[in-house]
Order: sequence, then C-alpha cells, then structure tokens
Amino acid sequence: MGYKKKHKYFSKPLELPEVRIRIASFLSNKDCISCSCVSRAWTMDFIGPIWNTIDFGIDDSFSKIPPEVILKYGHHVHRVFNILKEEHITSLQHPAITSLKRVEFFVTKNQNSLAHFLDV
Amino acid sequence: MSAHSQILLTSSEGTEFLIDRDIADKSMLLKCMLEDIGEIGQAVPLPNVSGPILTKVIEYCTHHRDDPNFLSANDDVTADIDEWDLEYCKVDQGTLYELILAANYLDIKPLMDLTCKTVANMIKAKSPEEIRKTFNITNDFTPEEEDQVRRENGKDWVDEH
Repeated sequence: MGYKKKHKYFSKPLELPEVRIRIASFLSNKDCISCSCVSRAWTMDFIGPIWNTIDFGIDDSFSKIPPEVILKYGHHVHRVFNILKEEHITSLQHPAITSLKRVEFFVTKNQNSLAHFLDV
Repeated sequence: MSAHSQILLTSSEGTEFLIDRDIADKSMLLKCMLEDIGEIGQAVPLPNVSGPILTKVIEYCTHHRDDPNFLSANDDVTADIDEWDLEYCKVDQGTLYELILAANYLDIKPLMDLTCKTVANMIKAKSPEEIRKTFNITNDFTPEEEDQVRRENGKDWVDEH
C-alpha cells in the first residue's frame, strides 16, 4: 500500500500521543504496564489509565505508595472511590494530586473524615 | 440541500472519488467543512490519504451507512469487534497504520476506535520486548529505568485482575 514511501510522520501512527492514548483506553491495567515499559515516549501515554481511578474498596494500598512516586504520577489521578479511612484522605493530600474530577466516599458515621477532606 | 447530493474527493495521487453526501458526513472533517462552506462544486483534496486507503475508508463508511449507533458503536471498550469489522481489519500492518492515520485525519471516530482496538488486540498479553518487536520500537530505557517504571506503576499496588 506504499506506506513506506510516505513521509515518516505519516507512516508511524504509534508515534502520535493521541493514537497511543486511544489504544491505552482499550487495554487492561496489566497490558498498560507492559506498554509503559516499551519506551520513554510510550510511558507517558500508557500510565494514564493505570492511575486514572483509585478505588480504595478494591485495593487500599494507594495510601502506602511513597510520596516521591505520587509526585511523579499523581496528576493522572482523576477519580477516587470508596474513601473509608482517614489515611485514604491523607494520601490524597499530596500536592501532585491536582486533577481530581470525581470523589466518592464510602458513607460512614465519622463526620470528621468529611470535614478533613474539605481541606484537600 | 438534496438528500441525494454527491461530493467529489481527490486522493493524494489525484484520483477522484464521487461519493454520496451521507457517506461523506461520516467524516466529521468533511461534515463540518461542507456545513461551513457549502457544496462548492469542486473536488475536495485529501493530500494525506492515498487512493487504496480512501477506498477502504469509503467501504467502511458505506457498510455502516444506516447504522443508528454509528458514533457510539465502539464506546464499550470491552465489547468484541463485530464480524464484519473484524474481517475489515484483516490487513497488513502498513495498511492498518494508514487506516488509523486516515481515520484520525478525517475524524471518523468509530473507524479510529476500531483500528486502535485492533492494535490493542495485537498488544494484549505481550511483554514489553514482544511489543517492541511487533511494532519495531527502539528501547531507549536502561534496564534500571525500565524496572523502575514497572515497579512504580505495577508491582505493589495496582489491581491486576
């Protein structure tokens, strides 16, 4: 089909971030992790889905991630579900977590948790 | 505007393609252009799309011509690709690449999703090294850096199920 004859830009769609981001949306976290290890350019586009949603109801180890790791990837966190403990809230009070769009609490009687979150 | 109006497109080699307006409207680029400037009675040049690829794109848009869910067809990321679409994507890697670029340029979201989903299926369950081989990508990480990316993004806390 002659794609080799074309300008380099047009022969390599996988060099386009918007294409990589679209492909990432169709992959599991496990496959996105493999892709993020492929090259420097790929890392940036495939880690998005891995960090996009934090669900403490499924896995609450997010609160144990070292702050220097959150500093690198925290801006990819957009949605947080099932906030239950105070340590969950504390872990979200990192300056790199700048892009939260949706936050859902697991409803408890502990009003302090909510008050605390307003400071985030 | 007549429902049966036709549009003339010119591929990168200068080949002309006469297609029905409703087929052209599957491309947001062409739809917006035709709405903005009206039908000028001249061929619309597509310098980034070759004749064989434009033929494939028109085939896709014609097959999905009366599809009421055209724009939301591939929104379910976990849904399997339907049989016709699966056959349609059985092309060599170079053609698949060109289809992605044409879908991106012409802004045909369902074709973009279909072709990217096809690439995603080629990635599934492969190791980073196998992915590099499949797509001919140079590894610019040191082994330590690659391990760090894997560790930070996976091992300890991401739910892998």
